[in-house]
Amino acid sequence: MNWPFLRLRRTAALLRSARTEFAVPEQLVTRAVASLESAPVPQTRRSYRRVAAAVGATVVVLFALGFVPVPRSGGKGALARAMAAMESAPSVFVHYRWIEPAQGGAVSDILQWRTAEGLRRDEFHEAGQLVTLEVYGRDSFLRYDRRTGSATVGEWRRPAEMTPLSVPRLDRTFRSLQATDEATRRGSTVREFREGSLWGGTRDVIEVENRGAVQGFPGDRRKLRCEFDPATGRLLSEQRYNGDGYSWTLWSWTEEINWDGDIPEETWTFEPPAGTKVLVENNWWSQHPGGPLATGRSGGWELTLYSMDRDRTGSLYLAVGWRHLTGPLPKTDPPGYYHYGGAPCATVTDDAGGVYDYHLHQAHEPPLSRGIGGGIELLKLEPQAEAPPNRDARTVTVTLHTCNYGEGWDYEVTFPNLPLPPARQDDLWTVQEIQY
Amino acid sequence: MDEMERKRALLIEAAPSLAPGLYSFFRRLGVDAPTAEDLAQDTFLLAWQKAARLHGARELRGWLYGIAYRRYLQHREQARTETTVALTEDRVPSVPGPGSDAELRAALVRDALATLPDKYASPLVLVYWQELSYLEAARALSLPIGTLAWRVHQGLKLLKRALAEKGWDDELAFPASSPDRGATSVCED
Repeated sequence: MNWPFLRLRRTAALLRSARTEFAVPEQLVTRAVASLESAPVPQTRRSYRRVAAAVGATVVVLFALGFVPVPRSGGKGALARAMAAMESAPSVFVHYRWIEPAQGGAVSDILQWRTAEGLRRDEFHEAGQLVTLEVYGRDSFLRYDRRTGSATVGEWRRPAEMTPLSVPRLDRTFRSLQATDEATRRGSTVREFREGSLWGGTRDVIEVENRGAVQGFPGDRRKLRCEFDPATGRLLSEQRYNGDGYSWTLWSWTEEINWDGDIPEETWTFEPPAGTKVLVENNWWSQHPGGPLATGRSGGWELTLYSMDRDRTGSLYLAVGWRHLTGPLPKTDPPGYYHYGGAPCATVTDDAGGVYDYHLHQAHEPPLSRGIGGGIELLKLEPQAEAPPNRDARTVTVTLHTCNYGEGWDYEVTFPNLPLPPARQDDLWTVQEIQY
Repeated sequence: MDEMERKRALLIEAAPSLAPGLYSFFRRLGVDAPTAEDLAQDTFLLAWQKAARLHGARELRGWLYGIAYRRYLQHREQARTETTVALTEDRVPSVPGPGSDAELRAALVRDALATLPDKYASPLVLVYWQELSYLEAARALSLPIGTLAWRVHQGLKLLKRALAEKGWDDELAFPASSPDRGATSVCED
């Protein structure tokens, strides 16, 4: 029979019979066993997987701890702590930076120095060039503007009792934060919280979000984010974002913040470039001879009338000081409206029926914070046309009161029967121009 | 004793019974004696390095032959070793002596086997010369057992044809032999 199956069985048998036997080397098994016994435990794939998983998990944890902040408790009250910290700081330097879309994305800078003595210096740079500068030194001030090629300078005399007790406000940051109450009322979202990460440490954060375009940027949302040291309450960083509802774009940030650093004395002086037109303010009023004419207290404020002068037109010039006595400043209405820290307006009547109204003022920027307010200003009051000054008037009654804006800081002090000064022939509101 | 140490002990225990077979396997694939010895030892070391994949003593033989076969392919690629069987001094004449009909017939079969594509020759070598079960051979070659069985069958047909081309007359020279072990080994495991 010729079965195919049978033929394959025969082929298989033939193949099996053709198997060759080989003499196995004597040391083969010994060598194999010896090599197995001495071989180190291998890093198996499973081990690699475990190691990889462990490494991955570690990376994730480190990443999470390092770069993704984790919420922590205790963030409430960050703003109050920040304000208190600002009160107690001897000095601070902050370098803000932002992008100017209108100028092709050029970077602008603001540099601010502040001391508890009331010294301050502000510089504004565009594309690396100084544009404006303000220096308020111990006994003089200077405001320089490169664009107009001019500078205004003046002497700065501050009554001793007006010495500020805190680092003046960091305008760019704290003005925004102080307005959070009002911002909330207008529909902004204000969040105070604490977060921590391995590399970034623990930080208190205040975020203010609201609708509103940032000039030059698309989108209609804005966000301010400030980070504070939870231990000291001090500002660590500030970022401002522009958003379109889907993502945020950082457009402004703090490059450097240095609290309590030694600020060189030359910081408080500045020499304008040659050719600058210099306007010298005559601030005679801030160092008026003689003592205070009158002092009174109202609503937690102390108000002082340092001097009163009259020019040949009959206008009155009052040098007025104001100071909040203790505790935090009361909230204003609308909330967060911080004008001159309580700077007064004045109304004057004379004993012959004349009425003088506030016309304008010249003020020395007072230290402004939530805790302390105070300063000095020159108020010019002009006689009302309907009630021209009576030449027979001999005394005036001066009422210092809160200005109309910013209700809620209520004070009113009246100093009656003050002698009306004789008219001065010199110009009481002059600015001398010199070419530097 | 942890799991890896248990597997080390298992390999050491299996070495005396499996190392000679691996050596012969390499020799039958045409590797010279010193290289076959090195490859056999390499096989055990490779097995130890991959021991995490070994799940039990029952699969050890097929798994070890799989490592050996891949090591052989690697070696062949490196050395361009010809797959023809080299008959050297360590060959043990199994049945009759040199020059006998049986010897001539065996040489003819080995020559015919060497002409087969590797995909058919390797299953035949593992099943008929190394006496692995179909399951073990399938594991060694990383093939489904059905594929392995088909390749054995196809390999025998090709071998038969190759023998015929060399003048072998199957009808006249069929030697009596044991039943086909490979045909029944599917059910062994």
